Amino acid sequence: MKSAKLIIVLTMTAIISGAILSVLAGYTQPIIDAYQAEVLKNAISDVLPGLDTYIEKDIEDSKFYIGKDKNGESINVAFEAVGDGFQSKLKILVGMDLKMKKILSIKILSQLETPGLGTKIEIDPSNKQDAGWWPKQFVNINASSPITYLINEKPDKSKSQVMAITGATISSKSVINIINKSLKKNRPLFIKEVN
Amino acid sequence: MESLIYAVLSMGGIGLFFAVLITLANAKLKVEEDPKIELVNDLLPGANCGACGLPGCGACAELMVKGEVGLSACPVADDDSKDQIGKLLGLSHEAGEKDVAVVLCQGGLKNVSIKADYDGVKTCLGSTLVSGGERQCAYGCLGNGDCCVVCSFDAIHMGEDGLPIVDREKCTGCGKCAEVCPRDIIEMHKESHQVFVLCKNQDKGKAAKEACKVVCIGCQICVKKDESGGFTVKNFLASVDHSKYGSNPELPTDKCPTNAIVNVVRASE
Amino acid sequence: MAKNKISLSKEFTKGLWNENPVLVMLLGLCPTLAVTSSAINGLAMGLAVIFTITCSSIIISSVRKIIPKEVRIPTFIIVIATFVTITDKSMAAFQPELHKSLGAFIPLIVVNCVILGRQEAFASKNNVGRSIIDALGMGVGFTLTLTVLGSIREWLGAGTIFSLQMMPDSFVPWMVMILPPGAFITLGLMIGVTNWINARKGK
Repeated sequence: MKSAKLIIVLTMTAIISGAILSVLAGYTQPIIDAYQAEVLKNAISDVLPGLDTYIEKDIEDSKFYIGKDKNGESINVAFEAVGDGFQSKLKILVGMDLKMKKILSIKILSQLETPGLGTKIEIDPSNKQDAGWWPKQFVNINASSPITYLINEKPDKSKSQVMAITGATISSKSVINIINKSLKKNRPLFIKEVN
Repeated sequence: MESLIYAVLSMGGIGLFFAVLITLANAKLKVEEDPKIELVNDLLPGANCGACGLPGCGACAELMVKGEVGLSACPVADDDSKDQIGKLLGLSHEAGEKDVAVVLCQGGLKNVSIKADYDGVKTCLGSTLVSGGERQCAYGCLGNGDCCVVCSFDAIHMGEDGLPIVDREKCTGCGKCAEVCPRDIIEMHKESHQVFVLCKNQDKGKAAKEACKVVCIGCQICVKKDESGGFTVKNFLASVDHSKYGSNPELPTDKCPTNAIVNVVRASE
Repeated sequence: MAKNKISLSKEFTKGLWNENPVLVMLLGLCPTLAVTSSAINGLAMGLAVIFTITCSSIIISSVRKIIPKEVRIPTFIIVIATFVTITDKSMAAFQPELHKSLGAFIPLIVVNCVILGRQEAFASKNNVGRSIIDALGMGVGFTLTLTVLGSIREWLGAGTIFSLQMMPDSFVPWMVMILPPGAFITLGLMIGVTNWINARKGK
């Protein structure tokens, strides 16, 4: 008798909890999805200059966002690169030309790096003129060879160089490695598909 | 709708699975316990004061049921509950008189000389380590109230003049305060014993008088005035042997020149 | 029961100071140390905890008599986890920016021992009204502590409080205050100050 009560109470609690949460998820999930779609859309228009609309294209397990101009011509392409940073998962949106030889722009979609140090890969409040100087280094950078980083030296974009952040070398390096890695994987996939 | 069914089924399934697991574990791993332990535990005071020398009343109850300790192990339980435990376990119990704590010092702030200002840890143990505390007398109360903190029965409190006062009604005779006092000025005595030399000072008369107004100077007057032979003086300090002196509340209390001999019951009235 | 002699107002205020969950009982230190890199994060975490602890206390104190003691902890955890998920999802839907900065820590409220501790020590033994008061007191105490801790760290570590400039431009932020060691140092000092004040009061 007592054990029956025990089983009923625990099972019922679990069932009620499951029911409440599934109803709640049914209500909030569309809002969350809509917000995330909005964020993604804004990010894509940020990294792909001159686009009018974009289409999504899945090639094998990679997802590409192909930017189109007003006439419906493909002009550029973006993809998400994901990997481990210093202490968190980094999600980076990379915008490129159609040959995938030049990075147009990048945007950090999510990161939880060390506040005040690693977070400079997204925003650097200590740089009062240009808080987003670090990701801007990737604008129009040559990506035909893997990107490398320099410490305390002036980088050369044509040589695929960027400057690492003082005090956050690992976060900077992680972003570069993640971009290099997914570029290596995605470039042949995309080129093959387009041609 | 579909996700609702999935959620309910998966959560319910997990709940059911673990509920059954807990039920089985409950049945298989149940600890068989002598039901008497629970009953004895209920009859014990439940203060977990530790006077029996065991971790708490539960441990004491267990050993009582096993017969490893007698009823006298608990000095705190009253006769009534000891009788009931005795009946339960088939043990006999002799009703005895309870012990009460007596503070053998009158060196409150009115009487004792102050030699320093102590600003350290507010415990007797702490102040005794720092040149013996604030008060001049090296034998008397330190006044930081370790005894009041340790009491589980709310029976000893710090008085206004910095001396602990025992509530003889509430005191259960557990002896914790006597144990904790670094100066050993608290002693356990039968409730019927009322006359005490409330002093522990073993200095010679002059030095003792400098330390405290109400001090035993070893003048021998009590020895001479009391015919029962219950008073003795050793190291300039008088003490009462209650087996000879008995419970006689009269005699040398008013003859003591420094008022160090006191009838504690009468004094508190 | 002796506990019922405590007045309702005292039941509430004990969580603010005498039995402050963070500074006195040292419970729930994981979120305390992890999220307080800014005042707003501390406040938001605190509000999420107030919501969870109050709702859980209401449910558990009202069904306390039908929960068998063998399954009380799994039941408490399910109830708490349900409310935490509600908080998590609602925050993601309506406060996405806040959710982004607290995201990793909201699910961890489930194992915040302040909440389970109050259910076990209080809500499972007291009536609904008293449990709500107790939960609110504990929750507000937790929130205030986290907000103060977050404000100090943000002030010294970034020169701002609630993103408002609080330091002259020449101030060089102490980076360490934003980093985990700053959390430990600040919390340690706050506990020290609490003990110091209590010791002074006792005197």
